[in-house]
Amino acid sequence: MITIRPAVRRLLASGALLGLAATLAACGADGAESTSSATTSTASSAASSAVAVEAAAEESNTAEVVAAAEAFLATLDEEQLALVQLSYDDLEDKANWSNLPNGQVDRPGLSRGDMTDEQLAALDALLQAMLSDEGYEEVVEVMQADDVLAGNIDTTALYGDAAEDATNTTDGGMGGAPTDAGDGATPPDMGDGAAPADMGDGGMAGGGLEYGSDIYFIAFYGEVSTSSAFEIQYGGHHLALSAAYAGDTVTVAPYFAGIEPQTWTTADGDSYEPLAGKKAAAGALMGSLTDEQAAESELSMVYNAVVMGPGADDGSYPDDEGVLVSDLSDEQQQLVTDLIAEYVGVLDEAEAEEIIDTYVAQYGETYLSWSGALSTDDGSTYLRLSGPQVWIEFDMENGIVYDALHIHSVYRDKLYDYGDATQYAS
Amino acid sequence: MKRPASLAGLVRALAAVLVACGLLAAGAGAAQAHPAETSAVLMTVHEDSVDLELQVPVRQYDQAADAALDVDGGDVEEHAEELAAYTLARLGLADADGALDLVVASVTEATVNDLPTAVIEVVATAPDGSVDGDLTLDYSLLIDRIATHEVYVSMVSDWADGTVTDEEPALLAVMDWEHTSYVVDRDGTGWASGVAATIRLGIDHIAAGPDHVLFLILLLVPAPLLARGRRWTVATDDARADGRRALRRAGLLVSCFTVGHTASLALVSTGLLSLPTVVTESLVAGTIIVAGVHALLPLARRGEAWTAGAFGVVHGTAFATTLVALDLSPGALAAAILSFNVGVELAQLVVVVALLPALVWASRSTWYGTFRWGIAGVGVLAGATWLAAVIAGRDSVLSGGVDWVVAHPWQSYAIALAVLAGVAMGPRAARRVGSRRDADRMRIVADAGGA
Repeated sequence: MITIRPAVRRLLASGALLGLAATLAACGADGAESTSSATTSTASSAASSAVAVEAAAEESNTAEVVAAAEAFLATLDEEQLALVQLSYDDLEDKANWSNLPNGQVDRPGLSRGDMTDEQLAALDALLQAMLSDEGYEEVVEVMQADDVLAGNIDTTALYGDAAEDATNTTDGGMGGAPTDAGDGATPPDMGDGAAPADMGDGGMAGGGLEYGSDIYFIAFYGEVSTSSAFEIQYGGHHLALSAAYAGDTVTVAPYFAGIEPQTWTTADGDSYEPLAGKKAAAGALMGSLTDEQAAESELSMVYNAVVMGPGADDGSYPDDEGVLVSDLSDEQQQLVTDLIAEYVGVLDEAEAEEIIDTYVAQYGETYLSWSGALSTDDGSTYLRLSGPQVWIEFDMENGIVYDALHIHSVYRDKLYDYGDATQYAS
Repeated sequence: MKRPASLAGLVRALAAVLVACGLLAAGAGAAQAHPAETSAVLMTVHEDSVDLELQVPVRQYDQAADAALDVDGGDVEEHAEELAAYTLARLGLADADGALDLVVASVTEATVNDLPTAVIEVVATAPDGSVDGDLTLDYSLLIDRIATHEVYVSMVSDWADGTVTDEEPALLAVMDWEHTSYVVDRDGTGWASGVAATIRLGIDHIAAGPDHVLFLILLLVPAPLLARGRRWTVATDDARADGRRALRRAGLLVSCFTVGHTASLALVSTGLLSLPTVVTESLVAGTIIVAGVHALLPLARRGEAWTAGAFGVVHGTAFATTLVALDLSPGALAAAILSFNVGVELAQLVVVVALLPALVWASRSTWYGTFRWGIAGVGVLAGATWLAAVIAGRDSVLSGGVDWVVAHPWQSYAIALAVLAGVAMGPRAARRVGSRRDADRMRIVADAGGA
């Protein structure tokens, strides 16, 4: 869970420090040439610290990301480089992400499974440079959920229920956890066009379903640079991250986050719920609606999936429906902001704060709406936030592998998808 | 003598025919299924009516209709009237002459994509007794409420539009809340389109049916030979005479086979005879084993024609399952049986023409016996493994190799010719050897090898 207030405090503190450090560094440089001006410079830096905070908010982690990206790229051989270095104008591959596992939708780029330990370490360092601590943790745990699906992780419980039978060996990665799950997660009654028997074993074969943390891909669009535009795409089943950089401007839309199973407990006794924050934020917001607000914000049609998921890149969004966020109470508006922060906050705090402020300023034109139900325990629940820029869909879905609910959610920016949404304007 | 040249020409003509068949076969539609939680509409167009099979996932229906059908099953039949009324309020079909009359024929529950699904059979009848021109489907079940729902519309068969296939129905369109009307373009010319399409289906059936081709080859291999006692021997020293005899014999066998399978095809297609698939496939596998043994040692010297006819009956029942699935009207079915047979005969003719000359020529070598034993062994082995696979309900252990042959007809044919050319290089089986004929043989082998 990402909360704004501490983040703001950290931002202000770090901004002030950065400002001070920057000014001192400048003084030092000046000092080498002209010692006489040193005292006046120091004095002015203290006086202008408020201005320095403003300036720091404009700064970004682009340089840090570029350095980490270059370090990662330096570990790759030529063949791998050819896979990951794609053209900035390669709109098809940029848009090639999905909520379906690889095998049904094959991702561009280089997969973790085809990397050495050294390369993986450099990749994880890059992800840490790109993302907030919470965002990095979320990415790692969503990947682990795929290992649970693949049967690569021993689990003692799924969806909060003991699943003794789910305990499986990692021998050859053929544990078949999905079909051995316990009560709360009985064997799959439904498939997404493929039989559950395709999973666990032989998942890699013949275009079948493929799960596992090693089937996550990274690709770079455009030259990695602190000045010109480039994008880093990272994802696999249930995760799609499009982090775009153009100098100091950083965006992370589209960002797709889904999860199945929602929770699990490993044999070591550790419990995981990667999207707990998003689910709690959506649940709190839905629960806060009065009957009147609920009636006003219910969509005219029913939605059982996200609308602006993979492939919905032509810039056309559904018409606005629902209740204006600015008509909600202050507390409710804060809950809206918390939900936004859950998505945008996958980025480092400084970048996230700036984007969130922009969205908050647009609450007078931002609509909240829903269909189905207003509960995260109901498979028909669908929640939508639509503003001049922000677009968030949070959807509770019926299980694919387990007979229990799972989550699909997507965040987009109508102007800054893939760094610049107009790329896809036909 | 013009024979060698004409044989080479024949091989070339044959190649052209095979190319044509390959092009025809390539026109077959791709398999289409619909994803979980989506609806499906399967259309079957007859002369005077259109059958619509709607597959509606129960859980989605509940949401769209504010209904509460039990997704664990059993509720669909109980709510048949409610579902029928819901359907008729949201479904329309029109041809060039206007709206068709819709009647819900049945509402049943089935499991589709592992999900409880209401299967609603609707019959749309043309008031003027004839379905003409483009069809306009207006469909808003579920998608009038569920913005994320999709409806996969497929065509099972449309004889008059030339849509007949033994593949999965071809996907026509995916409808959703923004696309609730779809026009099925029908530019077919009626019976001519149906006949042409069914001939093509018959050709495809042989082209993609290694069992029938293998059976045919097993009949052809001993065709140039004479059964003497319990052994096959070279008939005469005259290759030309042997060739004529082989051609007559192949012609007789293929004709008897045709008569047999036409008869059973008609019986099964019209519903007068019905055999379970496993029985049919077991019998076909059995005929391949018998034909393999026959290629080793003559089994029925005088009854060869009768045997071929009997085998035709068995194979015909297998063909019929394809035609039954088309669900044609009686008139169209009769035409379909005829044209399907024409297609089968054309394809068989191609196989005969492609292999018989080379077989005749190679049969004059002493090595032909070894070759014949090899082919017969392959036939018996393939038939036996297939029979075992059919009975066990699994893929044959040889299916990988068979798939390769089907997927690579040209390479397979080239390999067959190369093998036969090699066999023909062997020492002569006949006593009297003319130098002129010898030279001819060399030239033919070169021609065949270069084809």
